[in-house]
Amino acid sequence: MDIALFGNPNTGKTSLFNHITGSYEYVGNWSGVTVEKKVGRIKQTNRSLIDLPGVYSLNPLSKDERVASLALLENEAEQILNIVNADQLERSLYLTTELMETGRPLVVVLNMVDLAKRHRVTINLERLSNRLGVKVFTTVARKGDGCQDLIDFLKNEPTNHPSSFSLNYGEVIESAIREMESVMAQKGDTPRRWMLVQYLNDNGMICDLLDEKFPELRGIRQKADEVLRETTGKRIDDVIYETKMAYIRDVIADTCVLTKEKEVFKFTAFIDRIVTHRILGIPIFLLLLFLVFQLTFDWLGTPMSDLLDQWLSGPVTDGIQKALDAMGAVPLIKAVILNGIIAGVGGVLVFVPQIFILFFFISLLEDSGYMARVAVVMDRLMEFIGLNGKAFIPLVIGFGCNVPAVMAARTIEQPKERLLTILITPFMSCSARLSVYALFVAAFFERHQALIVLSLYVLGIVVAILIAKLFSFFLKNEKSYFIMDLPPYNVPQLKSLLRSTWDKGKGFVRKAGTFIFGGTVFIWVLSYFGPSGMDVPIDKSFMAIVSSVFAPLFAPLGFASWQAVSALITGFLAKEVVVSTMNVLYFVPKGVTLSGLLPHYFSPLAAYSFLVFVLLYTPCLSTVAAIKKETGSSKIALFSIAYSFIAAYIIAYVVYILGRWIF
Amino acid sequence: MKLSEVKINEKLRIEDFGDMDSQMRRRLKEMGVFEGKSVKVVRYCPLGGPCLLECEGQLFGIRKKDTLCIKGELV
Repeated sequence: MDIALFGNPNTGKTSLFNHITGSYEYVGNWSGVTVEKKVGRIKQTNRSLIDLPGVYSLNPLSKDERVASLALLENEAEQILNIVNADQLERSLYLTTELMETGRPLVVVLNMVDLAKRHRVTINLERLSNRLGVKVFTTVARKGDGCQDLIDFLKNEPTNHPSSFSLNYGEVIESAIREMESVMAQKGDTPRRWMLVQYLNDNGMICDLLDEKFPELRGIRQKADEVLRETTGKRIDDVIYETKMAYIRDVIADTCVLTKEKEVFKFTAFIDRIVTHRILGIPIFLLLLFLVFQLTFDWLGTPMSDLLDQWLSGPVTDGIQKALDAMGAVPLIKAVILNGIIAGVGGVLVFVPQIFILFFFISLLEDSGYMARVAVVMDRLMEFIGLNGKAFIPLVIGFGCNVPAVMAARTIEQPKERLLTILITPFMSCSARLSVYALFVAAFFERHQALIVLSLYVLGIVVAILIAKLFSFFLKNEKSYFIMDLPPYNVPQLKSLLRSTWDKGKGFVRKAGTFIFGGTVFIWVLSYFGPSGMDVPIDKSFMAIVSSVFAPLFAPLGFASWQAVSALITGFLAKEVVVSTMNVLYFVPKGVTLSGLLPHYFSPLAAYSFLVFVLLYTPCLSTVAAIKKETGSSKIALFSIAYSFIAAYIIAYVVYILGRWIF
Repeated sequence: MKLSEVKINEKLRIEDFGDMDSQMRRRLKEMGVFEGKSVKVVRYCPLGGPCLLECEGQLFGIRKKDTLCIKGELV
């Protein structure tokens, strides 16, 4: 029996999921962290728990909310675990009533009881459980309190009784429901009351589903709506809402005591006064980003990367070389391993510390609740370019990796804003590109590393904004709206931070073993063989011949060397491969680092122009695949490849020309 | 009185959502903001940006144009 986890956004659904299932899932403190449903195994049992995106009701506005409603329609959610925010009982119970109407076995988990206590709310659990007719548990999911009781219950009671719950919506609606039921029954369908209530409540998804099969229902709804408007002056959906709210208020009055009017927590109000300040809001965000980059590069990341590099190029390379000699490996194998794999994959692995540090801080910002504030602070700017503040969140996630960022765009309600967000997300400088920057800033801009890198990130944002503004002229205009829930700030838990850092960063390590490994061997083979056989001088290799054809194209941008062009071609696999390729092709002699060698091939200005090109050109293969999957259109995926290449070319050209003119 | 005219730290009891977009209104209802509830203005973002509101200890942000639709009385 599968159990599905339903709840409002920001109620700690994913934290609860992580505590009661063995696996770890990614948690964040803003709406829309769970963009796809995830399945885990409940501890000490063999039952599955499905984690669904947070919803306020079963009536979806955005694509991720549809996932939750679909789980009910397609009977994936046989049983329901409904997580309820004990501190916002009234609005949380709205979803509960909708879920109870489905008649499926349901267990309520009152989460955040600690916050409720701080607001001086006392809840009589036994009474609440009696009134709702379901079992009620209390938890503080962030800390794991109460989770064991819940596991024990789920373990020992595999069959809960279906709840029988039904609200009376008044004669007009009830008779409309009866009429609809008989229409459906005549056509041999078993009507489900909850679906009809949703239908009357104008749930777009259910309307589409039922209208197709039973065109008669539309007329029944319209008639009921007219009668209600005439007799009470209210719309059907308002009557349904008010009936539910009246029930909820009655339950709350019966089970809760509120001793004092609720206020925003002092700590949250204090932080908000600073970070959403009228004038300082945006500068504070930029300053935080700058601090994160300082930590990632200058203060923590670079020293750690250097240590790792010394270890890899010293003891590890020597050890493997000795081992290969001892085994009597043929020169070809030795060359593949030492000059291909170790140089290429190792060249990327040295950036693991920096990438993990960056992911750690992105997780920290997400988990604390700050991201939701950023969305509000940025909304005005985003509205100007035809987007809304919510689109800013996928863009920030894009700093980590563009693939989840493209997926996170699902939380955006309007299709046009969603498409625009998906198209501009690849301009957000992801961690893979970071390895290229790290290599080049160490070689060319040693004294201003963080500043140069920040300039690239900002350039990515600026280009994204300009392109969005440009595209928004061509896309059909839709009504745009924005509403953002701001959860109280959390003091992030180190354990959960480390886990979500690992969750984000492990993809990078995995890529090192797959794409980067494969790409490196491929490049090495092309550079080792040439028309005249194997072990040719590298500039007579196939790689050099092929890349030289394209090289002149890049002369106006300042870098026409065939090695740089090869790196760009193979960088399409994954942008880290740019670094691997350079490590292989520039054939770094012992005792010299690649960053020591690069200044022989690039001028500092050409290096910057190269970085600008790497930042903006064609998204990597995985991102293109994600774009195709999310938009369901190969055309859009191809378009994103083409337009970003053109944009990169033009902008790198402008940077190079301007630079030459200034310096 | 319109919500957009309410000063910071003042509270408005909502009477009417005017001609607010129906989906926007639905989402506000689902978040527990409906006729009869009081909302406090916490902050107006600059350059006509969103307005931060508080309703029963819950913070949320909506756009300025939507605050023009919400009408009610000062509490």
